[in-house]
Amino acid sequence: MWFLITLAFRNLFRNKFRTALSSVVVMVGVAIQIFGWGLVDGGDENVLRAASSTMTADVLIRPSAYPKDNLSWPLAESLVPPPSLLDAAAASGTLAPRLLFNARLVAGTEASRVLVVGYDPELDFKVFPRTHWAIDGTWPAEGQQQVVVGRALARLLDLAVGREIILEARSFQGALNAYTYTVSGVVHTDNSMFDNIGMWMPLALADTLVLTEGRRTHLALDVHDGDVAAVAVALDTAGFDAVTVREETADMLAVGDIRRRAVSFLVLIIMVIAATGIANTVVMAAYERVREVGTLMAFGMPRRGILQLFLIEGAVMGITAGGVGAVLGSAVNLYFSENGIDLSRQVGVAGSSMSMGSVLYTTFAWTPVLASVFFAIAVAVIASIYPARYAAGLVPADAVRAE
Amino acid sequence: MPVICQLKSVRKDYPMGDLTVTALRDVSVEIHAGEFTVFSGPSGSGKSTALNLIGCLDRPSAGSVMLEGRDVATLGDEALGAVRARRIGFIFQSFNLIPVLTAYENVELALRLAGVKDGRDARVKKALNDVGLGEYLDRRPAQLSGGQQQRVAIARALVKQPAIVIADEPTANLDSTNGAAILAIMKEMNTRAGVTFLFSTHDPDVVAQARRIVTLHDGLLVNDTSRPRAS
Repeated sequence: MWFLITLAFRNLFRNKFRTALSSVVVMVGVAIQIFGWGLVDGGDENVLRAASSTMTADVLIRPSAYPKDNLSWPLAESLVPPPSLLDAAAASGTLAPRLLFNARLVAGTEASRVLVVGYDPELDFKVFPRTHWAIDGTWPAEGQQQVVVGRALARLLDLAVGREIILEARSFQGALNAYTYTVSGVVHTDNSMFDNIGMWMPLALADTLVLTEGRRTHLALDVHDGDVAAVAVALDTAGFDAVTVREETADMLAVGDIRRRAVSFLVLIIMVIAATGIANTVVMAAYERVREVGTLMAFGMPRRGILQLFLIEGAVMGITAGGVGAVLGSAVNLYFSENGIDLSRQVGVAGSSMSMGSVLYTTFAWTPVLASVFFAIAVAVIASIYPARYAAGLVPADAVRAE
Repeated sequence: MPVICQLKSVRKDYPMGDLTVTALRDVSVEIHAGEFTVFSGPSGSGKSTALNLIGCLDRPSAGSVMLEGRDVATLGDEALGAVRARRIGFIFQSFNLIPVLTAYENVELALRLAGVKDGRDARVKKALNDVGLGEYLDRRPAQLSGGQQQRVAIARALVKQPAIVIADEPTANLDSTNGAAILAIMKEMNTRAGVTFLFSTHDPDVVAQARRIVTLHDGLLVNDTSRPRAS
């Protein structure tokens, strides 16, 4: 077998240009597949990270009637969490209560609709450590009328630390309240939605503004031990729904799945083109080497040996081109998994409620790399079947005298 | 000398569309060990077909082909290939060396395909030394002259010590000097080692060297002349 591999390898180098042309298409296909899958997986990770680090933690608990679309934030659906739910959640991890509602931010002559996040200063920092967040200024000091605004929003309204703003919001009862606050910080989170429309204030200030009297819209749970999905099921009690971060982002992940299929389809098209090129290369090799095949047969090489020789030539092309493509695709993938792709122009738009991180880090994993190379080899071998069968079917008496 | 090969009432037909062309008609001939035999005749006389049958490259339409007492006409592709690998050496008009293999590897290929594992290196080197190419082991065919390539082909044919060597117009692509040299090597192998050679040729020099001349015409054996061995 080693002899056949050596022979196949040398045969491929007989017409370097032709072999290279066919191989390039395979290389491109494999590289695109690896990078494309890394990009899509990275997109999924981005969505999950954006949600879990700013909104859901491991498990998000909401009143059952509360909309799940993350487009409207009705105070009317807020509820006072029952002690039984709080105790059950506390037994599984750390729970951060939140009150989210829409308000109107007025800064001088400018105004914008914002999403206010009322947070528990102590618990929220435990559940959302804000490791990758960046803040200019500080988080609101206790007892001060201070708020933090998202970076894109701050840019839109020309807000800086120390600037005074007015926040208008309808209370739970429907009355219109307005208070003056000072911007203590401008924050860049892992989630573009909060950067674009978000404003952060301690729960005490939020309760004062919208008079919710202990009602909450969101409870984010950081699960310490145990299976997150099981915890979510256990906390799914009457009046409240508990979802994991994956369930919460299912729609976005489904989009990722569509993208993954699109990449696979693109790669499939490229591989069909590659298969045609490889088939052409091996067919030409078979036609050009009729006398050589006849000689091998005359000296006793069985038909299956001839078949193997041409299939190995296809496989060697697949392995070589697939290997180079895998190295290229992996290198690009690894580069962007370290340095990320800046999406701030795409997602950092004030007013946008798209929930994604502004930097997308591709994901590198060995499984797609190996799968891509295996796919390339399979395509190359399948493309070589016809020429291999043609060569193996030659009549030795005619083939040895072929011109 | 014992009979190495025998064609018994052999007919070979080739279908050509709706027609059938008969290349050999009821040909019977025996080849003995150590013979230096030429199959001669004009183009289309059937000499290449006869060599194909003796060389187990093809099967007869009727009759039998006996090689070392075994009817090879009834063998399947694989078994026929095994017979070729072990018992028959080929020398072709166009040398038919594998271009991507060195002279050494081309000769070794015959031993590999014959399933020889022991002593391969020594046998390959001896075979190439015997044809005067001991210094050209690592040369590829493109780096050798036509005469040198045909010597490699002779070494390849002989290295496995076959029962018979079939040489199809072995000097046709060589100039007269190289042709004579190649012929001398084969003659010497025949005389010294008793290798059985069977030629198809138009070359009068080859015919002149043959001790037996089998003449074919229109697929019929029309003459079979033997000359006494020169002392």
